[in-house]
Amino acid sequence: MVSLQERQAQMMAFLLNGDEQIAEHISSSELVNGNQRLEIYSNGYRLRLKETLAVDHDILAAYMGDEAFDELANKFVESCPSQNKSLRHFAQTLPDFLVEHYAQYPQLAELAAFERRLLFSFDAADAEPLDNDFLQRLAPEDWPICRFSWHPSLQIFDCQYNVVPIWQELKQEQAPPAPIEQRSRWAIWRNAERLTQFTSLMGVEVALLQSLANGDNLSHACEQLLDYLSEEEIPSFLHSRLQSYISNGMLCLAKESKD
Amino acid sequence: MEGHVKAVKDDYLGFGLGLRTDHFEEVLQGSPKVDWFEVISENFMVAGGKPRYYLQQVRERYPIVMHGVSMSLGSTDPLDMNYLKQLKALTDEIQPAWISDHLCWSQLGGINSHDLLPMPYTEEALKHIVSNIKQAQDFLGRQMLIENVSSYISYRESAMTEWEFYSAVVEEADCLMLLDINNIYVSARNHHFDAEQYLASINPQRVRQMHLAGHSDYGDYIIDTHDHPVVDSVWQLYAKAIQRFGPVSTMIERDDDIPALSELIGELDQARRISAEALTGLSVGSLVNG
Ligand SMILES: [Fe+2]
Repeated sequence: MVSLQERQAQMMAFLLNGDEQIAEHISSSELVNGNQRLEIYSNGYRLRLKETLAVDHDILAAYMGDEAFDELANKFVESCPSQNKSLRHFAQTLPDFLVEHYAQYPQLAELAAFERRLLFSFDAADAEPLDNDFLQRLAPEDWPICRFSWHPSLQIFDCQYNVVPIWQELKQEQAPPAPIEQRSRWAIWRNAERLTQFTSLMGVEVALLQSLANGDNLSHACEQLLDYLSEEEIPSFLHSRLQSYISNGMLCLAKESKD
Repeated sequence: MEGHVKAVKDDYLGFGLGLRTDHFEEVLQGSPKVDWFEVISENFMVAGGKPRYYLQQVRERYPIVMHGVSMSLGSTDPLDMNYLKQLKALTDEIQPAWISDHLCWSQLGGINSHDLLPMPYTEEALKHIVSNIKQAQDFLGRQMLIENVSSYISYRESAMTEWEFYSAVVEEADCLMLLDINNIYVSARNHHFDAEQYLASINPQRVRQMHLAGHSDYGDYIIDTHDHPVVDSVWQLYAKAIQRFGPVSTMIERDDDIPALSELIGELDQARRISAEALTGLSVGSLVNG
């Protein structure tokens, strides 16, 4: 008798590749034969994975149109079987897949990557964001040594195409702009109301945020900004940006010192 | 073992619903007439964010039961210890009344089908799933409820019926049963067995919870879709189950085409009525002898 493991391998081979070795081990009845019974499982398998793609990447689907998205979904399901217990990670490699197989439309991979970033921020770990008046309460002598950490949901998204405006228009069910090469950087995070948000960043802000993420104190962070701003511009820039990040719930108290 | 058996009736929770994203706000604002909620464990096995926040809030107001869909207890892959650790962390936080998963396998060689695939009903499969359930229960430090699945295939090598296999599993692994009445009905139609014979073979002392759900009937076969209200024949089978098992915590599963909460509460009221009627129509003799 065939072992349990072999039978399960046959069933899996049928689901993944349509390999029919399993069929002779499945009972038929008058009404429904073994192959029809097996098909219920293979149809369900593909349907479930394609539904996951359609839900997690609804904007990409709207952008590509039903037919093209369906073709993408079929190809992805066939080439990238799920290696996770949770369906939320099923399409994790979709942006890479698009880079490889849809190279003539580079905006697709970036649009998919943006959607995945939003999903990541949605269920990233919780952490207490800083109080709105944190800076007001910070003693002047503590400014230079003050350090922050990012809220666990905060990410910086760097793209070469106008995929965020494309995403925004499609989200409003409007016609998207034509794809153009247009580098932009975005902060994506979950705010205190647990809503996922994003905002565009200037290059100097990316430098500031990355410096904070590296554990630099504010005096070190200011040195990083000298490539972008004059010394006189830095204090007011720093204050206004930090206050905005704090009000948005993007920053937390620093984790223990690295020094 | 004696202790487990006695606990069955002490743990009666009443009538519950699945906690679904669409209803989070309403559950918290309206304190709806639902005795408890069942959550899909995997939906909350994330680091943080809105679902976790709502779950904590709901937990402060209602008893919670955790229902898993991906332990893959019947698979010949080793149990995923990382998954079990995450699950244990969630049970430590939520303190559910109990946790459950299915009499099935889902993954092999690290590839996940995201389906509840049936087992062949053989001695080998029995031994295998019993050992995995024991291992999971030991790790989680609690007894689990194991649920019968809807199935569309049966393997030629099966040497026993589904109910014989299921009963042997729970006795040997010393676990409890989450009896899905709709799944019994669906599988009975698909495999042409007698649903009442199935019920009659189940040890009442093992039954801790029941599921009800809707399905899609294609005439020659039925698919378990959880996107419709419970059908009359499943209500009838439920009444018979209550007559046999006495009051058992019952919930209605709805995973697709999810209607307004009020509509589901209406359906749950129907479960309350049918259960109450089944119990009053019950003679002492049938309670005792089953
Ligand atoms: Fe169920």
